[in-house]
Parts: sequence; C-alpha cells; structure tokens
Amino acid sequence: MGDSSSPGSAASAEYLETFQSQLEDDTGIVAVAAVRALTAVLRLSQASTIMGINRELEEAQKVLIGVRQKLLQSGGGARTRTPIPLECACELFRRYVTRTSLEIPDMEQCKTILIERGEQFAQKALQSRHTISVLGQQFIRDGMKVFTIGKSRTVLDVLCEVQRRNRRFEVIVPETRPDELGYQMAEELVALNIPVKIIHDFAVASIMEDVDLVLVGAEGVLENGGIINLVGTYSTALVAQAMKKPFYVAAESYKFSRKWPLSQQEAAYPSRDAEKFRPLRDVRPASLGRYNSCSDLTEAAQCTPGTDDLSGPECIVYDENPSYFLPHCDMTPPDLITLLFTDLGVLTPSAVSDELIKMYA
Amino acid sequence: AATLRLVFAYPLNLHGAVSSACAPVFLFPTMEDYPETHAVSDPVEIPASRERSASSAHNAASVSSAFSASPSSSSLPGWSDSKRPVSTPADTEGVTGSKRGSKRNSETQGMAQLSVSGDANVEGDDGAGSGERRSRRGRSASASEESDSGRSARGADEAPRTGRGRGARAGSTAQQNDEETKLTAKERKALRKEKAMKKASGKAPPAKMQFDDTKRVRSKNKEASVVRKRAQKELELFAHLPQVEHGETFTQELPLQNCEIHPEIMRVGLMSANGVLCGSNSRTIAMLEAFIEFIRDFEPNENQEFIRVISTKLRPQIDFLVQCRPLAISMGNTIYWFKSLVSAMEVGLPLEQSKEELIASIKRYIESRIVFAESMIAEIACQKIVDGDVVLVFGFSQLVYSVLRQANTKGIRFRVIVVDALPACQGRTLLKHLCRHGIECSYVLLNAVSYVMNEATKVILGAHAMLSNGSAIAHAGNAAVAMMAKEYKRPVMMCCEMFKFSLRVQLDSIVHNELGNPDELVHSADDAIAGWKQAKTLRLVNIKYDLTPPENISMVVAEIGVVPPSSIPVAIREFGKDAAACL
Repeated sequence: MGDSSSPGSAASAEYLETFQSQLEDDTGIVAVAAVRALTAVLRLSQASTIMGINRELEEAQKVLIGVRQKLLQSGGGARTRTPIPLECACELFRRYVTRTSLEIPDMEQCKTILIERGEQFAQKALQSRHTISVLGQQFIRDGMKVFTIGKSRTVLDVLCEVQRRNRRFEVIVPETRPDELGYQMAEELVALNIPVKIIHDFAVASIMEDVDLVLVGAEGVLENGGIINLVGTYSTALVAQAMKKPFYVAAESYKFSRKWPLSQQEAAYPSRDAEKFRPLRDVRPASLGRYNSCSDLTEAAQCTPGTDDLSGPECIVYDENPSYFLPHCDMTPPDLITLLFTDLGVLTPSAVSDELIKMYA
Repeated sequence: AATLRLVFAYPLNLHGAVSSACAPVFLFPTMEDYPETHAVSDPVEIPASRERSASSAHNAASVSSAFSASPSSSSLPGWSDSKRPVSTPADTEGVTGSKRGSKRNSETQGMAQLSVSGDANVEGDDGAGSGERRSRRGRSASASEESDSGRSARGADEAPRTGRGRGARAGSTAQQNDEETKLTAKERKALRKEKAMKKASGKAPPAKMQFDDTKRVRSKNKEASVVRKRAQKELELFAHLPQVEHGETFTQELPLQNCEIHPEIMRVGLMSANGVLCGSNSRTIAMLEAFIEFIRDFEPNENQEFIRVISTKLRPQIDFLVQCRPLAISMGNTIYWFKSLVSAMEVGLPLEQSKEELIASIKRYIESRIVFAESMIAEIACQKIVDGDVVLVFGFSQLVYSVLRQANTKGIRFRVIVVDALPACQGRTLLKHLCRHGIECSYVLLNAVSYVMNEATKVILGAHAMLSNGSAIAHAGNAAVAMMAKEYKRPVMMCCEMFKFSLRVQLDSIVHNELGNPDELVHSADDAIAGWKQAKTLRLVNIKYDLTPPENISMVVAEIGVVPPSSIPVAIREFGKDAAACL
C-alpha cells in the first residue's frame, strides 16, 4: 500500500475502507465511490503544496485501481469488468483539482472547495443515470424490439423508464457466456415485467433483421467517440451497421476518458486469467506428444488419425496447446455508433471530443 | 439643426421586389449630431410602419413614405431625396457609422414596438451591410422608384392612423428613456463601438483574391514594390492561382538606398523564392524574426504613434514576401495574430518599451506555439508507437522527424518506411537523418506505396495546415498515402501544431494551392521533356499541396493531445482564437 510514513499509510487505510464501504452500498457506482475516496484523501492530506496533493492523489488512484483489479480477477461480484470507469473518474477529479488549484492559489480555500465539489460530483453522478434514462426513453417507441448486451445498469434504467411510460416493447439479450450476464439481465427485466428473449451468443446476426435498435452501456468512452465495452459489443455493432440498425450507447460523462487505443489488442484489458478460466472441456490428450514420439512414418500411420498433420516437423513442441483468447472487453470504433446518451445530452461520437476538450481545457 | 441624413436600406432581389425575408433598416443620425434625442422625427410613425413592414414586403415602401408623408417629419427630406443613393465613399462610412448609432438610438427612444420586432431589427441590421450595397444599386433603379411613389399615397393614409394609437404608449416610454440616454451617452458610445467590433467579427471576411480577376490583380500590382513576371506558359485550370516565371531576378528594379523593403525581409523572401527556405515552420520562424528586425529598425515620424502605424508599415513587407512566394496558411495565421496583438497593445507608451513588448511577444509566440508545440507533439505521438511497429512516413516533415527521434530516444524498437515523391525528394533528407540515429529504414517511391502498406502498422504524416472540416493540407502525395492507409485499415496520425489550424474549408485541392517551378520536373538536359518550353502543346504542372479528406485521417496530434479531425473547430474555439485566421 505504499507509503512508509505513518500518516500516509493511515490515510490509505482509511480511504480504502471508505472505498469498500461505498461499493458495498447498493447504489455502488464505482466513480462515486472513487471520488468520495479521493475526497477523503484530500481531507486527510497533510501536504503543503498542490504538487504534494497531486502526488498523493496519484498514489491513491494507483492503489484504488490495484484493489479493483484484484477484485475483478478474483471474479468477485464486480459490476464493471475493468477498472476503466474508476480510472476515468479519478483522472477527471485530478484534472479538476489541477484546474481549481490554478484558479485559487490559497491552499486551504482550494481544499475546501475541492472537497465540496467532490461531494457535488458524487451527487451529480448519482443523478446522471436518471438524466440518461429520460433522454434515452424517447428513442424507444411503442412496439420496438431492443437489443442489448450484458448487464448495464444504465441501460436497465432507460428500459425501466420506457416501461414506466407504458410503452410495449421487447428486449432481446444474448446469453453472454461464460459470465452469463444475459441471464442476469433477463432476470432483472422479467422482474420489471418486460418481455425478454434470450438468444445464443452467435445468433446475433440471425436476429438482427428483427431488431429495431441496439442499446448498450459502456465501460469507457474514448476520445474519438468509440467505446470500450464487454466483448461482443464490437461484433454486434458491425452486424448492426451491416443491417442498418441504429446503435446507441448509454454512458455517463464520468466515463469519458482521453484514451485512444489504436487496435483491439491495445484496448483489451488484461484478459481473464487463463488458469482460473474453466473451459467447457479439456481437449488435451492424455499423453502429450504421442504423434511427436513416433519415429517413422509407418509407426505414425498406425496412430489414431487425428486432425494433426503427421507430415509436419516432429520436433515442435508447443508450450500451450490449446491457447485461449479471453478478452474482457473490446473496442467499438465511432463510425459504428449512431448516438450516445449521456448526462450532458444526446451526443454524436464527434461531440465527445468536444466535451472532453472542454473538460480538460 | 443640421440636416437629417436619412438613408433607407432594404435588400432587393433580382426583380427589384423587396425581399420579405429582411426587414428594412432605418438609419438615423448619430448621437453626436443630436445629443437631444427628441430632435429626431416623431418616433410614433416608425414603430407602426415597422411592425407592418416586418410582416409583409409591400409595406416596406409604405414605411419610407410614412416617413416623408407624416407632417411631423417635415424637417426630413422628401421621399425623392432619400431615394438618391449615397454616392461618395466617405458618405458611406458616415452612413455605416450612423447605422450603428441609429440602432442604439432607436432602442433608447422607447420604441416599444421595436422590442417586439427586435429580432427583425437585428436581422435587418446584419443584412444591411450587404443589403445596403444592393439597395443603393436598387434604389437608383426606376422600377423601385415607381412602386414607391405609387405606394406613398396609400402609406400616408395608413401610417398616421395606427401611429396615433401607439403614439401614446411610445411617447411615455420615450420620455422615460430620454433621461437615461442623456446620462449615459458616453457609455453608450463605448457600447456601440463594442457592438461594431462584434458585428465586424461576425461579418464574412472579404473574398480572397483570385488571380484571374484582372482588375484586382492590376490594382494590387500598382501598390506592390515588385511584381513578378507572369509565367510564359500558364495553365488554364490554375488561372486563379499565381503562376510566375521562376528563375527570373525580380528585385533588380528595387533601389539600393532608401528601399522600402527591409533587408531582412528581402533575405527571407529571396530564400523562400529560391526554395532554400522550405517547410512552413522554418518559413514562419524566419518571417517572424525578420519582423523583429524590422520592428527594431523602424522609426516612426514625429506625429505618428508607433503602435498605430506599425501594422500599416508592415503591409508592403508582407506584400513583398507574398510576391516572392505565396504565404503558407500558418504564416497567414501568424500575421493575423500579430495584427490582433498590435491592436490590443497600449497606445502612448514610450517607443522603446512598445518595441520591446512587441518583440518579446513575438519571441514568446515562437517559443510556445512552434518550438514547444513540436516537443509536446513528439511526446504525445511517440506514446502511440509501440515495440515492433512499422511506421510509414511520407516526405520530410519536421514534426514527424521529431516524433521518430523522440521514440528512438525512448528506446522503442520500431522501423520506418519512408515513402518519397518527385520532384522534391524530401524523403531522402529524412532518410539521412534517421539513419544517423540508427533507425532501421526502408525507402520507396510513391508508386510502390500499395506494396508496402501491408507491412506498415501505422502511418504518421505531417500537415501543412488543418482545415475546419477536418481535412488536412499537406505536401502533394500525402493524400494518396492516407487513402491507401484507409484501404488497408491502418491508423493515420496527422501531426500538426495548433497555429496551423485554420477556419477555412476547402473541398478539393484545386480551389487553393501553390504551383511550384515546373523546371523541377525536368531531371537533366537530355530528358524527354527538357524542351517543354518550346513544345507548343506541353505544359508542366508542379503542384505543391493536396487535400486529405477527414475520412482518411484517424487522429490529429496537436499540443492539446490526440483529437479526432472533427474537433479542429473545437480546438480553435477553445484555444486558438488569436491564432486562427478566417481565410
């Protein structure tokens, strides 16, 4: 946990506790918890300069992200799959700290204002989902079929709002194995008395002709207007574009980040732990290298024919066969996204950069 | 009382009919002429007719007649007088000044109805700038005169009737505001000036000079100190661009002593003309340093105020530079910034202090907007280069070179493919520099870019300027490389400092470009096209720049960070108000 000096570590312990307790809270939005934790760091901070405060906040951010990642990797009931929303919120708060410190040179006054604003930010963040649901509900009209992926509380709020206005609509969700988020989402929707259809993950393209619009949440919104969301969003977006269906994203403004990954590899967060992942079946043969140990072709011919090419080089031993590609998330580029519903309004992907420049200016 | 100058302005379309979209604008004398507001004609008539005119086109004429016909406005000239267009330009200036004054005047005279049609007033005012010119032409047309005189009789009947009804209300508020206006005349003058400036900034800038506009070219050449000889073989497609005969000495007729052109400026100009000084950053810095020398050596006359006069004195220098080589867009932005800097400076300071301040500002501009920006962009862009990357670059851009150098210093393992194009072959310079740093490079010409694009993982290009719609103007060939990269789905990073962001929009490369020396296309004396000047049907085109549309650009790297090309106007709005020129 870093600091060797005792006030530092005492402070760290305290803000971690604040963080955990906020998360346990039912409306545990990671961003709110993070900002409250950082505000706590500010309050306890004994640094005498703005740079000192900034450094403390940076360390606190690292610790929080570390905690979060551990939580995610242990598979604990984390609602978000990556620490991206946490990172974005921390960055925004730190950026806000820097700006305010430039405007108000007096330290104590600055701190008071920052703590106040931190609380305001938390309040606004709690309100943001409501704003988004009001904005988003106007896009779902009577009789529409909505396609969504995974369990996003923002999307849930939008659908709830539509239901509240007594419109008839149907929701289609893929199973989203192996996390089975589709089932969790279906559970929530059935409880709200909304008709749900669960499909196989690969049936996305088949069902898309019946769908009227696609609505997903986001882990993070990128500078170019693209989003990072759970894996499968990119494929859905591609299918939606091919079938000319609108693709909407519901994301709060504290998820806006200045990241800009250039490829899927850059965007994909550390994948699931391959060792912890339980494949459906173990395809490895009982004795490895059965084919490789055959000394000549006649002997090899007597081996049970498999899919392996026996004429291949015999001395190759693969470290890990089979290997797995288990990303948590993928990146959806902005040209596949029609509109974003945010608490700053309904934005086009190019307006995201506008808002970011304003926020970070 | 001085005579009231009343000019009527309403926009006419081709048929002379009043366009109903714009309400007519009433021009009153300025506050300076009439410190007491009630000296102006009865305000009662105007609101009534104004409101009606705002709704229908026909009443526009009746409004004017209401003016002339109403008994209280007997001091006004008759309708026939006001129809006469204001002929002298000096008058026009006064008129436009009074136009703005009138707007405030009318408001404070308590014309309650005007506030109702307040929007119409504003639109009319804004349209007046162009409308006025059109109306001057239109008013002299006989058709309008006839219709106006025809309607005047009708109008005279209607106006007083409705006017009386509203008169009572307007009168009382007029009295109220009279007191206000008497007190705050000075403040209103300041406000008026502010509004004028705001309006001036909202006006469309004058059209850029096209070189096939013979009249404008002739008038510009009259004031120029040197005029370059036009090319023998001109291209019709580029008739709107300057085509000069390269290789001719054009400074011979400049006098050796008491030359208008400062020697530093002449040096920069000649170096640009000969191609010794190339690259927009170098040219901008050289120009600014020449300006610094000019400012140092400039001695204003006794009755001249340095700050007021420096911009005008700089104009012939800039014109000389333009004759040597058309200014780069970044240089245009810089000059615009310089002019706004000068206009914001305090007047009346001692000469040395003004000069030092100006020079310090220019140095700060160079430091922050050019040099520091370059290092910021290099830092940001090399974060996007990872181990194992194959970076494709085109030609030689100072920025791109800095990026690659920075990435190399950071220890990132990457290799570079340099794509080059004739006739400039600037890629060879880049190649030399990169090899000196030990970076692994390949070199191809533009025709092979489709072969190597598959290998590349990303493309980094340098822009000459970025336009408001997200397009990039860069050296000829960049557009092709970006197009190819899009085809192969490779990310294209366009590096550009913010002082090169322009509010202009261009849709193709032909509308505005620069033509270089056609002789550069000829390799040697026994080249097939060596005798192009004598060949009757052969013309050589050496285009310098091309336009990359925003679809082919993935991201723009500027000092503010990585932004999508659609955010160029946002960046100008937030950061670069002083540096972005309109045209």
